[in-house]
Amino acid sequence: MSIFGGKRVFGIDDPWIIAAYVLLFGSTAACVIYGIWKWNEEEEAD
Amino acid sequence: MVDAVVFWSCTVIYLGVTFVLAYMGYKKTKHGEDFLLAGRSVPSWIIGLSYGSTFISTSAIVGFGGVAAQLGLGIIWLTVLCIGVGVIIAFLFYGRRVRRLGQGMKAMTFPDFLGKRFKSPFLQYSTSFLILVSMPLYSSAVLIGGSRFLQTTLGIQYESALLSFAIITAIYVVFGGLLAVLYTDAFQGFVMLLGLSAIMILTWLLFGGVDASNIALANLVTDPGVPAGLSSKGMTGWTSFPSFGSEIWFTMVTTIIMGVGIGVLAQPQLTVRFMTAKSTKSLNRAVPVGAIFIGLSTAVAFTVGALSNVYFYDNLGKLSTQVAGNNVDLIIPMFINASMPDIIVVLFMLTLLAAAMSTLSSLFHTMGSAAGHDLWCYIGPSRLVPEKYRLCKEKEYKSTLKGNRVGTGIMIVVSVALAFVMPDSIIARATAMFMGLCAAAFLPMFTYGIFAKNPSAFAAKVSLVMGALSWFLWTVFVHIKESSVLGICKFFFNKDALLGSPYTVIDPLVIAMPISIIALIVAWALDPARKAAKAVQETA
Repeated sequence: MSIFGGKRVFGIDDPWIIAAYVLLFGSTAACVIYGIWKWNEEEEAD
Repeated sequence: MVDAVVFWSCTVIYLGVTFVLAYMGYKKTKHGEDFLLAGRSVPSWIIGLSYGSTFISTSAIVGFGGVAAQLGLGIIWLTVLCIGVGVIIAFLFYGRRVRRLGQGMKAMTFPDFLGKRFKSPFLQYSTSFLILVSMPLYSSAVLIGGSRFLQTTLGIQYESALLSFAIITAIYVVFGGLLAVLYTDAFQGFVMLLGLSAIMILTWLLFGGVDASNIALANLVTDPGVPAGLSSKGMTGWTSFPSFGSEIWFTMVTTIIMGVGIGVLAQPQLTVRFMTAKSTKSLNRAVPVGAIFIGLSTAVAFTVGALSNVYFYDNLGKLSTQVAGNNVDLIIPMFINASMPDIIVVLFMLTLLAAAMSTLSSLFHTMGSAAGHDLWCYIGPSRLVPEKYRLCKEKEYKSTLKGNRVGTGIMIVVSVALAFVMPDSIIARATAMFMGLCAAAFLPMFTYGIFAKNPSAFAAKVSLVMGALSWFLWTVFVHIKESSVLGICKFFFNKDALLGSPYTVIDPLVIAMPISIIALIVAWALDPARKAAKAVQETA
């Protein structure tokens, strides 16, 4: 199985490890964007 | 050995700033509620940093960094879960509801929250009891982690290191309460970010960049190769995930990644952070701070841990675990000491001090509040206690400063005593055990409690008892890593575990949490009070 075409990404070729790093950076970036987007939003009613 | 002048200058500055911040917290702590919730108006960036630095302890850096050296980069999935579950789900879904409900009910601690939400003193007492029994395991693991590094770096006695750690932290938690904890957490978080960033950059430079580092790590599979003892259990290399279904795969996925990653949601010391926020806006603003902090600190610890193999193999012809005499807790400290310049060794020592103190202070505070507020403040005024020893007046259920301080002091002594008797290589395991128990016993009913409109106390009680009980039984009689150490199974049945492989490596969490969830659902369906209320509604 090769989700990255069998190529090394930053010297790693196991897709599970590459996917973990991609998700790590992606989720951190999503959190930063969320924080900026909701910076001044007041209380929401559920 | 580190230069004494550099070391002491940095340490004195660090401790000086810590005590100034702690004093600021102390001056603002006037009542029991200040001690417990810091006035419920903490700025967002302090919440984010404090949440992160409480979550990331020496266990995460030294213990799990050592596990990364032994088992490879598959552990990076734990970082993914820490952000996905520990920040995104925790803040966006749990945090805002906990803050609002907690404020509405005037709840001051995690057990207090559950007791008021379910209108059940039993849940408050039993949750406090579980905290008081299990949390010392975690706090002791944190103490051990920090003390081991001081022992290696300074060449001082382990016992002296441990006592110094505990006493310094104890002083500011006992007197300054949660405000002191939060202020110092935030400062310690900054120190950790600085130290870990420097270490990551220097480690990559040491091996010629990111690509070259990882390629060198991957090449260890061919020379010297994965140790026979690990390859036979499913390890495939340091830059690849273990074989699916193997013993190491089960340990990696069920104990390390899921146990810690999911357990974070129902940890009392973290949940309290949500109740200190003034508004949902504060929680939203804390999200990026928490994510950056948790992502960076764990990813650095795990990556550097794995890469330490390259350094030791290049320089000593041995893998990290061999250099550390199979004690994984020593790997990260030994790597930093051997490979980094003095100033970075000192910075790393402060980083570990900061990590240990920030987590310890929060654990001490949570245990102290469970003892001093949730148990003592409710049991203390009762007739169970002779009048002259009562800290609170009869029926006056207010939290007292004195009660919380005494409770905190007692639990600190318990943690230190336990740290002296816990075995080596326990840091990562004790952390995972505590978080696994939190997930199994608290998470299902806590989730139900904050999302259900009229939660059933009966269902919550059954779920709590079944989750804790099944976790305990699986730990004592099946999960070999704990059952063999505890020896209870051996005593009763003359063998280390009642079941064979693969059950012996499946974490108690994987068994206990589904049982807790099923118990919750069944008890909810059978709840006589809920049925009676429904019947009344239908009649009306």
